[in-house]
Amino acid sequence: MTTAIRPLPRSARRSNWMVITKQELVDLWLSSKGLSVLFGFTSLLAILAYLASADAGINLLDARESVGVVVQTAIGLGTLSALVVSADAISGERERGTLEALLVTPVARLDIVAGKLLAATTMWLAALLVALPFVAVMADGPGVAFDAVAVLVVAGTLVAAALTALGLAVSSLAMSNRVSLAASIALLLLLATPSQLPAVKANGALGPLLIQANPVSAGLQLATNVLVKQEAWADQWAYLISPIVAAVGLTAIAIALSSRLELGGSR
Amino acid sequence: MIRHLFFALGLGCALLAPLGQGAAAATPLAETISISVDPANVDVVLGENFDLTVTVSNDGTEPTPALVVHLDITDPEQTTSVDPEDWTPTLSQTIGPVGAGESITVSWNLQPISPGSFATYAVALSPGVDTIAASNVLQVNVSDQRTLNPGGILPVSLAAPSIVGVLLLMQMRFARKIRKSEASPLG
Repeated sequence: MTTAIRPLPRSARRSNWMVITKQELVDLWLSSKGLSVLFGFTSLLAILAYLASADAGINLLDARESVGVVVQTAIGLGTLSALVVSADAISGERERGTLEALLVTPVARLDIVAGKLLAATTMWLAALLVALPFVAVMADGPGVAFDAVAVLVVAGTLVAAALTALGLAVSSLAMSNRVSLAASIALLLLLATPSQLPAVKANGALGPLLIQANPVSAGLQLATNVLVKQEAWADQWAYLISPIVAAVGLTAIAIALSSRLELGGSR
Repeated sequence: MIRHLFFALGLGCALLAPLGQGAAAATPLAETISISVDPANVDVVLGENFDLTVTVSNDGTEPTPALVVHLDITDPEQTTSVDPEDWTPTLSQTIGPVGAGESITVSWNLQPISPGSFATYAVALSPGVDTIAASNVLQVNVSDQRTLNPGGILPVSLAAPSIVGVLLLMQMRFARKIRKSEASPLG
């Protein structure tokens, strides 16, 4: 007598990614991993915000510029935190030897990746929550609180979504955590550095295009344009295109790579 | 031979004469130009802007060559290194030639970025002329003024890392307790 193996009901399949997400959230926030990263982020942001406020207080830095600096740093460090967490998602499991146990469960690879992606994104959300009081206090003086929070939420979230997906994609391909982290951070530097070069900034035609095409630099430039240069939001659409495309595209790539997850030891 | 000597001497004088005329004709700028900085003394708080004016007067009978007025800032006691470009983005201003008996005034807005006592002065120079005219010294006294809680950020800067740090410590303590209870034979 054979026992027919019935496929999982849709409701069970739909909740698999939720189970993975919940497990990843527990692993991230109830272990010291998430809070350690968040503590580092908070400490750095606190020091920078204090120094920027001190300089603004004696007019060595314009108040708007100080808010711009803090918002850009919050976006940069916050998205870096999310990238570090997502870069550990798959390759970390491989190194710890727990990926095999996860892959032999009836959970689809897509659900595994989706759950890890959502959990890693909470790193950015936590960084955003921590950054909000700093930005609110500093932006109150020059009257840019709404713009500062909007930049943080809109540009920061798009850049974070893109980088989180990037980290997860790299993690899916890397056989070890070391390689995954190094490759993710190298990619982030490749994305962030060129637009900071004076030659690029000074180039009249190519400079702005390069900055707009790069999701990280586009997000940071958006902060400068709105907060420091006081440009209208309606004029910033060009700086939102690449973060949106990167967020959607890299997420699709990360999900597509989920089908390549296979059993195998770390190298 | 004496004829050759006189010829060489005459040729040398003919060749060198224009140089002598040029040297004699170039009047040192300091002899015809007076340059002054006003005010003579400034007391400001760190970060506070102040204005200074530089007046260049032609006391001679001929127009001056095209002039450039350059500002410099130094710390005579050398307790602080000063980069004048930190105080003002434009150190040199071109004022062109100044007519005989005329004066031209230019101004700067400066913002000290470090406390201390500084000497500020201006010089007038002209491209191709190897002398300058220097002004009096403006004594700038910059006092330090900093607040412990700029913009009300101190409570946030202290509280945010503290709260996250306390949460982290609590979590680590909780995890240690769990590990101990799991390791205990009584479970």
